[in-house]
Amino acid sequence: MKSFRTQLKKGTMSVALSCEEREAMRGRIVEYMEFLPLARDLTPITSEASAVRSWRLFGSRHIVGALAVALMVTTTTYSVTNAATDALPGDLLWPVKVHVNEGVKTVFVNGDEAQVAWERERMELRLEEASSLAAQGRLDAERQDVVSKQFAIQAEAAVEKVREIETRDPVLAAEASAELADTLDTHKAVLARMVVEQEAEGVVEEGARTFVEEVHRAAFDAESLREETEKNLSLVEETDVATSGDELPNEEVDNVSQVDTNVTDGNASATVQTTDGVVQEKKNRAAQRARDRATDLQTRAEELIEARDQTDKIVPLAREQVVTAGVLIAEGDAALTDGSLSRAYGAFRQAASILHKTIALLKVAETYNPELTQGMLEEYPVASETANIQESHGDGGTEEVQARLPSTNATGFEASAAESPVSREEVVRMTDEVQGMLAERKNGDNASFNGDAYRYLKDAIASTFRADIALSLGNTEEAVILLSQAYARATAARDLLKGVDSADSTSNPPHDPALETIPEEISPEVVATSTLSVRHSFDDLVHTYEGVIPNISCVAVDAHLSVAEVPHTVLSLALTTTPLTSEDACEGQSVSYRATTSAPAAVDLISILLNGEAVSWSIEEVVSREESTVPPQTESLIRRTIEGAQKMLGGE
Amino acid sequence: MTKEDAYLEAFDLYADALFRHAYFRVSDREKAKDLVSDAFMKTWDYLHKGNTVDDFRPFLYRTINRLIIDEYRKKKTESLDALLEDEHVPSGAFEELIEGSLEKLEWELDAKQVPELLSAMPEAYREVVVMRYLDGLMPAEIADMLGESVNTVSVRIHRGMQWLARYVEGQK
Repeated sequence: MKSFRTQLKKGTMSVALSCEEREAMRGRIVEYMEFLPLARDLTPITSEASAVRSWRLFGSRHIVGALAVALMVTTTTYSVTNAATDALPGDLLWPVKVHVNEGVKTVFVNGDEAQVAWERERMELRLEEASSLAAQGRLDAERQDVVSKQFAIQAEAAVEKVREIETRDPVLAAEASAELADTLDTHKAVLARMVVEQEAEGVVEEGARTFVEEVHRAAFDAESLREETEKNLSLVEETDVATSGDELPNEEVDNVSQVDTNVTDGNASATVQTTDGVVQEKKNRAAQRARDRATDLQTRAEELIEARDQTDKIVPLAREQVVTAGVLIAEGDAALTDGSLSRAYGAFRQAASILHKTIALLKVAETYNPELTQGMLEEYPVASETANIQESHGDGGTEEVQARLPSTNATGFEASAAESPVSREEVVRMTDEVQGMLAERKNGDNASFNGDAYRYLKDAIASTFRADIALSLGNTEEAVILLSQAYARATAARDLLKGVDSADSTSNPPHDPALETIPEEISPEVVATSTLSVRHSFDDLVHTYEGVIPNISCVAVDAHLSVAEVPHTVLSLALTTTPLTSEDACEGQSVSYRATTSAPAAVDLISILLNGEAVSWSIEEVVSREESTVPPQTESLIRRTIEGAQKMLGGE
Repeated sequence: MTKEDAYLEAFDLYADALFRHAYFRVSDREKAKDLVSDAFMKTWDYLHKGNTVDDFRPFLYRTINRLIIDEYRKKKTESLDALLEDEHVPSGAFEELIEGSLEKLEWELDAKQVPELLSAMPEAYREVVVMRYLDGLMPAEIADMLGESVNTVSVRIHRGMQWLARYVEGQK
């Protein structure tokens, strides 16, 4: 009897390493052993091949001086390379760290995924070094020059690696570019924040400001790369799907560009099915990988949180981010179950992005100035669309109210925002006051008002943060506008809360004497609207949507625009009716609304919600978007600046 | 023997087997070489951190298996678990089931077919069949490496053999 095992062995023995392959692999492993000798044995393992390779590595002119000195204090490779691990630009051993430690590791990294991750990691090391120097006030012009040059080399290498793999693995390229963009965004924000803080204390080094600009530019490029790689995935889909006739997958709008219903040939159909399968497989893989990345980051974030002192203020804030990411992962899972792969990908990517930033900030908190980092998270506590509002109750207990908040560039106050410049201190004072008022709210009867106030507050904080970034980049004009917007939003939040408190109070009469004769409560009545007529205009980078809701009484309309970008930039208009306390306004009437937001020209309005219910609409373009003369680069820069702040807050 | 000597001896002893194992799991020669190299480097990293490895063989298989799973994840279109629904086959019947499948295969299998067969086999089955019959690991050892129960591993092996038998039958 032929043994299955024998047959299997016989059939597989031809698969073996050649002598050359085996020797080469062994040589590399011996080199690796030499690079990382066991701690107890500091005697380097020697081999002829590895000795030649090592001397080649150590032969760089840049590091000869550093090595010469280093070798005076220690005689082992182990000690030199380990001592260099914590070196910063300008330190004696820093060249050893960059050219030897990292150079050797580069040689040993195998495979596209590991290589692209390593290039990004190297770039991030430079950013961390710069942050460390900036936090210590040591990022002077000389050190900045050193770190900038190396950062530029490594950022370019990371981008090049993504470009290299784009053709053979577009899914990995999209993922890698997203990680690259996240990394740069996070560090840009951290560095910018440090510069602003230090500037306030008058200790900022000019080199730090210059470096922030460089990181900002790199982040700009990385974001473009991410958009491009994700678009390439979509383009592949569109090209493939466009010929697929009746086999079109109908689960996702963004899949479908054009349907050719004339394709009836059997062969064509078979080809289409195959192509469709490839597209779906690619999308599925992208979604699965994004999920893997998000869950891995979730685990890492949880580990970092666990490792911290649990009384640290940063802990609950970081936990909140992790919970938010968990919600997004769950949403992604649900989308996967529904077969909506793009939605799933978007949710997983957002989750990964939030976690990436949380981890980065936790690391910053570990290494640098804890007070600074705590301040950053404390000041921007709501890091996601889903914000938890703590409401105190009379019995002393608390209840978490989930408030679905739109993204941070929901506006409506921009028109009056820039009228008078305000200082950052004034803005901070006002936001502090609103935070205090929210914290002191005694009951949950007006959760919607709290939610609105909270949203305004979040907008104010986001605008402040954007102003910080603008300031750090020397764009004072933009910073002034942003601070004014922030102040307007914070004031609106305060006024809203004050108004509600006055109305709620049984001991204090309403401020407006006219209201004294008004019935205590008038139920809002909203007659079902048919199709809403909306006027849209786009001017000076601001989209304005306005119109009226007919046949509506006893209400005011609050309008908000929110922006999302998965996978395209889209806008949602949320209209909320609130009861009026004035009888005069209760006659049958049409109530007007108006909402504005800053966003790129190429956006789509995807939904209008009236009290949470979707309504249909017809749109009238007052100013064609195509007529916009705004340079695309400016739009992109502004959008990215906004997104940088949003991402820092964890929302999209 | 120093740790370094033991480690290099492990390379000499297991590199080829690990390469073969990796090759039939990922069906890519260059990738298989990278995986073997990575497995040894990760093992060295483990030693470098001050840990000790008493028996390199299971350690290396565990390491390369994790790397292969990572590799597989990059390409997967559906989860392994979805491929393997539990059928609650009573324990104790596994060896018999496996042997029964083997008997039929042993008469019909041509060694030349093996690479093609393994390449065509679903990953979930290929993993355990390669470990069991190519690497000569016992179900308990495989279970330990994969973090699964012995029963689960045995069921997978059995199904892998059934799949092979059906595939060979279909080739006729």
